[in-house]
Amino acid sequence: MATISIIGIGDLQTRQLRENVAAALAIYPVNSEVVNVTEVSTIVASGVSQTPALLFDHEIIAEGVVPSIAEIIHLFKRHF
Amino acid sequence: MQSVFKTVPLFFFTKKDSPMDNFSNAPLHTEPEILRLNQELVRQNDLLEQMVDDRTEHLASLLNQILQSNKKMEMEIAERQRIERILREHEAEMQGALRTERELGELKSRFLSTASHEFRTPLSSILSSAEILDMYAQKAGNEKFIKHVIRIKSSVNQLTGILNDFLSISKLEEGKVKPHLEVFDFDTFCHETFDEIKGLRKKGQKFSHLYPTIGVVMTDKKLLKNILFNLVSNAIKYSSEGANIECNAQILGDKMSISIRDYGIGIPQQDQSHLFTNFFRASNAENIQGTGLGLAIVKRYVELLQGQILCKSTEGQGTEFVFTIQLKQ
Repeated sequence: MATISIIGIGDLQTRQLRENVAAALAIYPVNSEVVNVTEVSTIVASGVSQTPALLFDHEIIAEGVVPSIAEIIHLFKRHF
Repeated sequence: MQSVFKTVPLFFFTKKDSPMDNFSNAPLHTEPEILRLNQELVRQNDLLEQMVDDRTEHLASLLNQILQSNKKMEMEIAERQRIERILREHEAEMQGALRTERELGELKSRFLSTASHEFRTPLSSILSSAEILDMYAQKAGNEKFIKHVIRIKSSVNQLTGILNDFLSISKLEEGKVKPHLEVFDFDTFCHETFDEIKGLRKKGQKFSHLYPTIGVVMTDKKLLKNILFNLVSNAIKYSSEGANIECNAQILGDKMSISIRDYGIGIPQQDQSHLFTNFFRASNAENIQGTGLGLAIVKRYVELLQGQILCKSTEGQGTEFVFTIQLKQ
């Protein structure tokens, strides 16, 4: 099973990213587990340089931006 | 975030709806009052949520700053490690080059030393034969013959001087020259040395000794003689006929300072910093014979006597070399 990690402490942008990922998954289902990483020490250790960040299987896909639903679906197709 | 306050607490229910009617002593509220309190509660809840959101945004912004600083530091560390790795590689290369350079230097010194030795033997034979020829020429009174013999002798002496310079620099570079201290009378020594050099003077050149009686000193006589010989012969070489060459000396505590001044062609400003480098010739001395080793040898001799040498010169006006040596008690 793939892991989709959404990294961010729950600010507006992070919440938006969570919503977009959920919407994208509803349109383009991927056999995956969505993990919300909110712990600061875990965020620092994750290697991202900005939040919110989107990771597929621990690989940084986007950071500091909120990809749209269409963009996330495109990323899903490319990655999974 | 799901609000916990959106459910109205039990005690805000009206008297007739309250299940705790018979058990509570709490004051009961009228319906409009409850409505107002509910609205107030919702407003307070919204306010709190807004505050939480603001704080979260602020924290997210701080977190991003920390993450960016971290990234920057990671990059700086990686860059430093890269530079350190390059430096280590270069250091290894440099050490290799230095080793090769040292080996080449030793090889060059050995070659110079061996070659000079090998040249000196046949030169001695040429010189002694020239001396014999000179004797015959003098007896025969043949002017042309005498002139050529003098030319041979002069060229051989010149070549011997060059080879001596080569040998001296080789010995110095190999660290074979060590000072041997002895006690001697400086004034007599100076007189003898200048007496030896006076044969090199051009027509009308004069030596002026501008120092008081120095007396007995303890240093390496041979090295000091070589230094003086080199500096004075340079002064002669680079001055015109009739020029004055001044020698000054003084004792300063446990040091002795000696200066040789000429009023010759001088040394161009841009050449002065390279004067003591092996084989360096000043740009205005290219037509005057020399190996460019004399001053390099002088500097090393002065250093062997724990002293320093300085040059003051103005092109076209003359040059003064001042050196100090450490006197032993």
